[in-house]
Amino acid sequence: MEQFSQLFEGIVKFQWQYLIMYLIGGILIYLAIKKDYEPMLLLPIGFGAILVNLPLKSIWEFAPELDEAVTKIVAKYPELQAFLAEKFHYIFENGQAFKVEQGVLQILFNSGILTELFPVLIFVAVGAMIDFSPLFKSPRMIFFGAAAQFGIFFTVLAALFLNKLFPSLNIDLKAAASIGIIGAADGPTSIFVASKFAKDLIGPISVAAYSYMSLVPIIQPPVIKALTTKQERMIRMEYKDTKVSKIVLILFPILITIIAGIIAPISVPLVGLLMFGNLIRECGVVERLSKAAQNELANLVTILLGITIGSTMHYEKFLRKETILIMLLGLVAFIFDTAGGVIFAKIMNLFSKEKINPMIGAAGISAFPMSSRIVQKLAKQEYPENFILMQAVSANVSGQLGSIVAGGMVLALVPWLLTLAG
Amino acid sequence: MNDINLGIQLMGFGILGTFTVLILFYFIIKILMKVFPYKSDEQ
Repeated sequence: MEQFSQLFEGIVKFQWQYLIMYLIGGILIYLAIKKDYEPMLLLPIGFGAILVNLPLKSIWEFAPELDEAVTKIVAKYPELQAFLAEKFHYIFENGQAFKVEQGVLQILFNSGILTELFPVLIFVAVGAMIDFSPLFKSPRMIFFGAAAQFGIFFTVLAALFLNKLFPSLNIDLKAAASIGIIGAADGPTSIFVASKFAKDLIGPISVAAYSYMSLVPIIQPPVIKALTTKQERMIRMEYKDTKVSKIVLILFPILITIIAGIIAPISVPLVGLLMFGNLIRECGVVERLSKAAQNELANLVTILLGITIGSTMHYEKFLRKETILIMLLGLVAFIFDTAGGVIFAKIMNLFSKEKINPMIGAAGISAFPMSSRIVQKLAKQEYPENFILMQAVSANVSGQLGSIVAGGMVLALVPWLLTLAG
Repeated sequence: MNDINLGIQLMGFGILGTFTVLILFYFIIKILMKVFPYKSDEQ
């Protein structure tokens, strides 16, 4: 009878929670295919979520096998137990040692996410795709790239405040910072920070980050309209098409890397590799490498990153109250990012002779080029001849810089503050 | 020090730090554009 049940182990060990996870995975796949919401990421994440919630979870880890030799060694040297559990994936029950071999997705997770390899490689690809020249044409737009990171820090505070109200949520500063970084509107930065501070929350944080990035056209317009008057939205801005020298485009990524590396050394994997990708693009002598970074590297790592993130969505980790909280706080982060940018533009207008259309501030988030397109669309709705797309693109490119700088700040400040607090 | 205080400090230092770094980038852009202006023979 026991052998017979072994044959149908998948059915015997089926849990009702799997059905919920299939539904969630299915919704992500639906959004990717039918609604075209970040399909490159949501599709593999959705499928990964289904894969890891199959009975026996063999794609994540194999069934434990008794290792008699190690059992004898540990009986003699019990102090080795913790070391073997951590480094060699042993579990111990009733004095017996069981080896748990990693499945393919756990190997990818350990080597690509825990080591931060995948998000960092994505930065090389993103760097090769970014054209910073719009920023050189309207440099003052760079301030919106900073202002529109407000949502990150507001959300950290909101998460900590909620934890104060409901201590059972168990959100400490590291977890709050990982949730807040959803507001960077930059998937790889969110994954990078979460992999440092809250590995258990990587799944919901990534899903929230990519979902809200794709929902920017729905989230931003009402916030922008609520914070601006019709007159403000009709402000026209002059645009000078300044030409940018090639040497400027080449020196920029090198200088930024050096400065970021000196100010916040911990941000080097983020900034440094983004700028390396950008240097490949701008130098003009390694066209093949630039194209490879923009296409082959980006595509390959995106597939691996997506399915590995999906594999962190096992129901035991995902079907928790923290996931709902992360989804809600992620929305708060995007709303306050938008508000931060718009309000900062209005403040700048108090001191500036050349008025800025405050909607430009909303384009200071990292979601490129969606955010700038939304701003242009809203400007056109108010005044059909108004063309502020180029300034919005400048702010949007600044947002890509701002998000990794803010990510670097969070990475540097959280351990520092915790050390200060003792 | 409780977590809310730490959060407020993270917010203050974080926003200040992000602005400081981007202001620095702003000046780098300004200087680079001044020192290496576009020449018409470039292309």
